[in-house]
This record gives sequence, C-alpha cells and structure tokens, in this order.
Amino acid sequence: MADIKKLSDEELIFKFQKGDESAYNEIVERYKNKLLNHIFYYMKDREWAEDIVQDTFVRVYLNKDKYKEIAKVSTWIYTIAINLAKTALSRNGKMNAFSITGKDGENDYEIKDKHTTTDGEVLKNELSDVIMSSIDELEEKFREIVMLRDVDEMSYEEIAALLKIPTGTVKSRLNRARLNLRDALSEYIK
Amino acid sequence: MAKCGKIEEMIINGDLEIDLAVETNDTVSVHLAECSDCRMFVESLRKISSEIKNIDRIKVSAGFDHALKIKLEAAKPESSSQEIKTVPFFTRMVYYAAGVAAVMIGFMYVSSLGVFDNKKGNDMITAPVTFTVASNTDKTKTVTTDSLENLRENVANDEELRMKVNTGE
Ligand SMILES: [Zn+2]
Repeated sequence: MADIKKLSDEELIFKFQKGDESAYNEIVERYKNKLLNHIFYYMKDREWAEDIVQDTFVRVYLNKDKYKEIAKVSTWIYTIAINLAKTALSRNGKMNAFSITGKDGENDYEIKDKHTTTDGEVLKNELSDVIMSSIDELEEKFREIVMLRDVDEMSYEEIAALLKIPTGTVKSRLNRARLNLRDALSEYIK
Repeated sequence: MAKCGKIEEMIINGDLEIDLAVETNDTVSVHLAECSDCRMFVESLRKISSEIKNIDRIKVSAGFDHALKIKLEAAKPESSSQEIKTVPFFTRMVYYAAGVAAVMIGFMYVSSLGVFDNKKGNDMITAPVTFTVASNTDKTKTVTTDSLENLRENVANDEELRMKVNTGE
C-alpha cells in the first residue's frame, strides 16, 4: 500500500486493469482536484464541474481496458473530462466557445454562482481576478492552452497529444496567448 | 519613444520560447543585458505565468468521494449479476417452474399442429388433404378428406371414382 504512491499513472492503470481497485482509488486521488480546477473554468459552476469529474472517473472505471500504453494517462483522462464538459455545455446551450464571461463584462451567470464567492475560493487579490477574466476573454484555442500549461502544468507534448495538434502549434499558441494576456494586463503588470 | 520590440518579435515568430530561460540563448542574453525595454517585456511575461500558477485552486467537496462511489455502484456491470445471485431460493424455484411450464405448453401447441404425427408410421392423416382424380366426363373431381380411411370410403361410395381408381388411371 505504501509504495502505490510511488507508481506512475501508467503503472497504476495497468495494476487496475488486473483488478487492483486501490490503484484506481489512487488515480482518483491524483486527478480529482486537478480535473475539478480545469473543468471548473469551463463550467463556472462548482457542482456541475464536480459532476463532470465524477462522470469522468466512472468512465475511467468502466473503460479501463480501453486504455493503451500509446497515450499518457493524463491525456486519456483529460480527453474524457473535456469531452464530457463540452457535451454538457452544448446540451445546455452554453457552448459559446466555453466563454462564460461575456465580452461586455457584465454577466449575471457569474454573479449567480455563489460557490465562487464563498468558502475560501474567492480569488485572493485583484490581479488574480483580472488575470482570470482576461483568460476568459481569450479565444478558446488560446485559453485552452494557457489553462493546460499554466494551471494544469502539462508539458508541451502532453498538450499536443490531448489537443491533437503539433507541438510547434502548442508553443506558438501559448506565445500568442501570453502576448494577448500581457496586452490585456499592461496596466497591472509593469 | 520608440520601444524596442526585438524579443517580442522573436516570440511572435516562434524563434524563442517564453517558457525557456531566455538567458540560455546567447543572442538574447546579450541583447537583454543592454536593452531595458526587452528586459521589462520578458519580466512581464514571466509575471503573468507565475500569477496564473498562483491562482487559488479549488478542491472537491467533502461529499465528492461518496457521490462517486454511488455513481460507480450504479454503473458497474457486476452489480446486476450480483442481484440475480441474491434472489431467494423460493423465487428462483418459481422462475424454474414457470420456465418448465412454458416449454411444455409450447410443446403441446406444436404437437397439436401434427408436426410429430407423421413419424408414427400409420396412415392417419390429421390435417385435411385434397385429392384430385380425373373423372370420365373429362372434368376433374376434387375430394377433400382428413384420413386415408375416409378417402377409401369416398371412393367406395362414388361410382365414377371407383372406376378410375380400379383401372389405374
Ligand atoms: Zn530590446
């Protein structure tokens, strides 16, 4: 039990494929908060995001044998989660390129969501707040890259595999995204 | 005030990766040492990156694991087969009896159609059979009967038919 923490994600999945449920539980532990953060920025609703994350783990459980060594576990799990999030958003008619914060700034959907303004999840300072809303206003392809790189701390290769784009495109989009953010934040960052 | 945009240009063109330590690139480090515009530019990009990384992370709620467990139980394919295993003995017997009864009723129905009777080797015909025999008035005569016994009787009572059958026509 003690060394299960030392196993790689891939080793855990192989263990789970052989029927070891504790390996599955460890995968859930490793990914639940990461996934929640990622999906939350899409859904802007804490409960909804948790729902998506749970459904993701259910799929991981049921489809464990479909995982093949060719992909990283993180890529596989994020793909499931993102697809579930996109489906849920489009079913609710909110698939507006994942952007919840409207271009005009005012958005009652944001205000309605009490989860973001209670229990210690308030963005700490004004700068964080401004950065998040600037990320929200990026084009989806840029926002996604920034989220995966800076929030989920994925490598270029992982992002490329997840989004099915060349590594070079990941880099250039990330550059472009950061430059856009810098323009948006020029008065806050000297 | 024309600001220097050399590094920015390199980044836009993809010649330089923001994430890499720009100091490892000789051309860049030489330029940065002498250009405050570009130094500030690189610094601001790094600050954005680190601010994004420092944004408060949320954590799953206390009920997350429990809710996941319930969803898993509902979705597991094993859960349905386990249910069958725990069906009480008496209920299982009722299922078996119903199954046996259904098979028997089915057999009785099929045998009532006469499917199995031909194997008995006697000359009983339970389903109606039509025989067509040519009559001496150049017309055909049709006799419908349900057994060979009745056919013989029909032929015996019918003068025309008896003649035809006896002459072998
Ligand atoms: Zn310069």
